[in-house]
Amino acid sequence: MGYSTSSLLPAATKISKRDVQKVPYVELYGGRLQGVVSSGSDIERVYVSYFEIGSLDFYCSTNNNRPCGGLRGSPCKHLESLLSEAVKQYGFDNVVQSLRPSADLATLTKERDILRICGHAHREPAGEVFSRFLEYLQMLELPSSTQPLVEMDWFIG
Amino acid sequence: MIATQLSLPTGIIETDALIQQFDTCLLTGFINLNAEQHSALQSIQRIFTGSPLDQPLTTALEAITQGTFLPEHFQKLASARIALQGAQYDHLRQHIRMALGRAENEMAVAIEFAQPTPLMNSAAHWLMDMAIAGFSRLEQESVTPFAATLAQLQADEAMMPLATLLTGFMGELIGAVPIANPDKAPLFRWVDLWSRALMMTLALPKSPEPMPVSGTLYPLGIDWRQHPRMASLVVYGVLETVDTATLVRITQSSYKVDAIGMDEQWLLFPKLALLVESLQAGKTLEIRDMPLLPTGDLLWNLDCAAMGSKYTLSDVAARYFAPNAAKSITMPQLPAHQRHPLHLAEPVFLADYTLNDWTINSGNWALQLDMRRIVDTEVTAQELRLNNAAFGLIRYDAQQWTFQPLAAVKGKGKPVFVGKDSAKILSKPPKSSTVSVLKERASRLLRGKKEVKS
Repeated sequence: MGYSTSSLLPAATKISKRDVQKVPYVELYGGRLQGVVSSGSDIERVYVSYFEIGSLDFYCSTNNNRPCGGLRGSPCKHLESLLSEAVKQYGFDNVVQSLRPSADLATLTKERDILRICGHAHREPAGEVFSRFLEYLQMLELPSSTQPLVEMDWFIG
Repeated sequence: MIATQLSLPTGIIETDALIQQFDTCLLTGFINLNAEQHSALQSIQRIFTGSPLDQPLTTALEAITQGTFLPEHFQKLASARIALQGAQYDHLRQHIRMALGRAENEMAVAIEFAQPTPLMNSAAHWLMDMAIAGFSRLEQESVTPFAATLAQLQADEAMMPLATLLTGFMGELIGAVPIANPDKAPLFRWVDLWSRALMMTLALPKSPEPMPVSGTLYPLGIDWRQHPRMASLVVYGVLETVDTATLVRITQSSYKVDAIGMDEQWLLFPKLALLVESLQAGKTLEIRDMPLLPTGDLLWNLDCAAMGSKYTLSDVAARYFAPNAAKSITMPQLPAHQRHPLHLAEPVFLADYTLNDWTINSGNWALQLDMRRIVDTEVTAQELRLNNAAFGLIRYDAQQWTFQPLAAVKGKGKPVFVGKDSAKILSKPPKSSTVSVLKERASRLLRGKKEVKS
C-alpha cells in the first residue's frame, strides 16, 4: 500500500484578483469553459459565452438567446474577456490543459494563441449557463454562521 | 527525548495500512472487488468483533458481498473507517498532550441526534453510487446531477456541516473526473470525505445548549479554512472567567464564490472587525453573557463584546500553552462522532526557538513547519526567522506531526499574526470589491427573478 495517507491536498496556487464587474462568472464545467460577461453599454444586459473543450467551438449570446453582434466567424470581445478572466481565475496553464486543444500545447503561450486556433461558432441555448450563474450568486445570499464547523478542516485552501 | 516526544503511538501505522486496504475498494468500486479486497473487508470486520459495530458490520458486509447495495450497508462501512480514525485521534491526542505535560481532561460532550431528513437520504444514495462505481470509473455525469440536492442542503442552515463538506468534495470531483491516472488520485482524502459525509447522513446532530459566559477574552491567533464555495475562520483565544480559564474557539463561516480570494474573504465577516482590532491593538475583549457551547466554541455576538485593556500575546500564550506550562487550562474535547486525526489542533507556545530549514526547535521540541498551512499567510518562514517565540497549533497528517504558527513575536515587540495585514481591509473596506460587486448583482438579479416568478 504505497499511496499517501494525507487527508489534505498540496497548497493550491493563489488566484489573482479578477474583474468581476466585467466578467461576473467563469467556470470550467460540463465540457466547456463558460461564463457570463457584462454588456459594456447596458447594465441590465449580460452575455453568456462559452468555448467547448477539445474543438474550441464557441458561442456568445444574450441571456435571452439573442446572438451577439460581435460574432463574425471568430470570437467576440466577450469571449476574449471570458478567456482572459479564466486565465486569472485558474492560471494560463490550467486553462490550456483543461481546454485540451488539438494543437501542440508548447505553441500556446498566451491568450492570443488560444483565440487563433478556435473552432467555429456553434449555437447553444444560454439558459443553462445563466441559471448556473444565478445559483452561483445565490451562494452570496446564504446567511453566515457562528456555529463550529470542524468539517472545514479538510479545506485549508 | 526529542524522539520520544515526536514519535507516533503504537498502532497508528498498522491502522493506516488497514484503512488503505479498505480505500482501494472505493477506487475500484464495490461492484468490481477482487479477492484481496474482500479479504481486506473481512479483516476490518474481525477488528470490530465484540464491539457495538460487530453485528451491523457483519450484516452489511454479507449483503454487499451478495451484491445487495443499500445506503445503510455503506453507512456501516463508513462508520467502521471512522471508528478506526476516531481511535487514532484519541491515541494521538493523548500522546501529544502527555509530551506537553498536559493532563487528560475528559470533557467529552454528549450529543443528541435527530432522524435524517429526505435530503440527507438523497446524499447517502449519491455517496453509495459513488462507492459502487468507484472513483476510477467516475464520470462527470455521475457527479453533477447531485447539484440540485446540494443547493437545497446549502439553503438549510442546520445542514451547513454536511453541505459544506459535500460542496467541497463535489467541486473537487468535478475538477478531477474522469481520472486519467488512478494512482495519482488523492484516495485517502477522498475516502475521508466520503466516509465522513456518509456518516453524517445517518442522523442530524442537535447543537448542545450554550451557556452565557462573562470574562476576559485574549485572542491568540487565527486559522483560515477555505474551499471555492466557502470561507471559514477560527479564532483561538483564552477566556478567563472569575474562577476558570478555557481555551475557546470562535468560528465564522460564510458561503462564497471562487472569485473571492484571500484578502477579500475578510469582507464576508464584517462582524469580526472588533476581534481583529483587538489582536492588532493587543487589547483584550471584555465578554458579557456571550453564548459558549460545552465544546469550547464561543458563539460570537458583537453585542456581548467590548474592547478591554492591554495584554501581551506571548505572556498569555506562554502561561497556558508552553510545554509543561505553569497554569492549567480547560480544553474541551471534540464530540466522539467528530474525532479524526485531521482535527488535532493542540495549541502550543514555543519560546526561544531557532529555525533550521523547515524545522522549528525549542527546548526539547523539534517540529516540522506546516508549509501547506502557512503559504499566503503573514507568518511566513521568513517572518519566523525574524522572531524567536511563536504561538501555534500542533497538527497531524500523513503520519507526521507539524507546527502551524498563528503568531510570532520577538521579546516585547509587536507580534506578527495570521490576518495582521490582510484583515486591514475590514477596518477600511474599499468602495468596490469582488464581494460588493457580486453581492450587488445577486440582490439585483435574484430579486428581479423572484418578482418575475410571483
